[in-house]
Amino acid sequence: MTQAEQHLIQQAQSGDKAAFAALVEVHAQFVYNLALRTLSNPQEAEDISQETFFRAWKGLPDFRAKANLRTWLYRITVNLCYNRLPRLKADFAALEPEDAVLLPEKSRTVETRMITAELREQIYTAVDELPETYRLLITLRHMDGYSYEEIADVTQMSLGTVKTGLFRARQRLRQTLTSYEETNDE
Amino acid sequence: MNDSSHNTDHLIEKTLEQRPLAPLPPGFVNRVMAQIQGAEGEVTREAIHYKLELLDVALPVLGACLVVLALGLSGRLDFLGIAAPVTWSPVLPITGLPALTQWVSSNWLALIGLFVIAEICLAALFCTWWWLDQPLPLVDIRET
Repeated sequence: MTQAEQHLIQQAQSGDKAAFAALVEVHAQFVYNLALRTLSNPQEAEDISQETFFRAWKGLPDFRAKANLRTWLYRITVNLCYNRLPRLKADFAALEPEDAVLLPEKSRTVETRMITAELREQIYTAVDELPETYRLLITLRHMDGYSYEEIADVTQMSLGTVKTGLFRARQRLRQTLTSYEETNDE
Repeated sequence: MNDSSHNTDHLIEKTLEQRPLAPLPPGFVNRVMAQIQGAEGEVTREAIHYKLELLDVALPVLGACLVVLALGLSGRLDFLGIAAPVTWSPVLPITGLPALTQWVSSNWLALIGLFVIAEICLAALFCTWWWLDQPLPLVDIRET
């Protein structure tokens, strides 16, 4: 978090609405995209994003200025998503952590295939077709490059659950991509 | 996990990191700020409303008590024969006012009766309103 943002937070905490509006400008698109990619519904995503900032304004006096504002906003957004989709939390709870899951922080670069526009669209579509739980994890992981610990913090799930979820999500994406490449090779 | 899987994972990661963000709906920030502004207006109105309610309940109850007390006192005076014999109204000898006719005193009685009923109704109305309004701030406190 930059010093300028910390300053804006302090101003907003003392009731400065212009400062809060500046913070909304900075983070709104990320909050909206998290809700949109999780819920796949633009209207609901907009409602949830608006409610997120409204709650953030109300809770801002209790916000610790040193904490990461975006992580805090994401936590509010995810809670609102849980409220909107109760099965989302239940699906998370159903994800039994797998002991064998060993996810690297970053995958090794072995060989970079050329990413064509078609392949890119294929991956985006595959992500959008994943269950909400996986979409939420994938979005947090790749939109902001959150670590597993940060994702666990935002989703209020255990680290094991997060790793298992991401492992399975990637497994599914890999399967989709492999079958797409096989089809193209034929 | 073999190299092919790593390669695929890397490809997926790279692609997802480059995924463009969907644009915000137009006027989003303004709507957020308007919601905040609107909610603050409501809070201010509610605070003033609350103070007025307390006063509104207290005054009619006090007024009704005073009128009932005055009626009781005048009735008692009438019963004791201190008031003028032809009238019900509380005309004490000390005031030096002439006794009122039966017709005027009946009017007075009706007027005071209406006043008492109006005061009691008003007090009951405000008490109910106040009681019904109470759960709202409690809900807000729970949410924050």
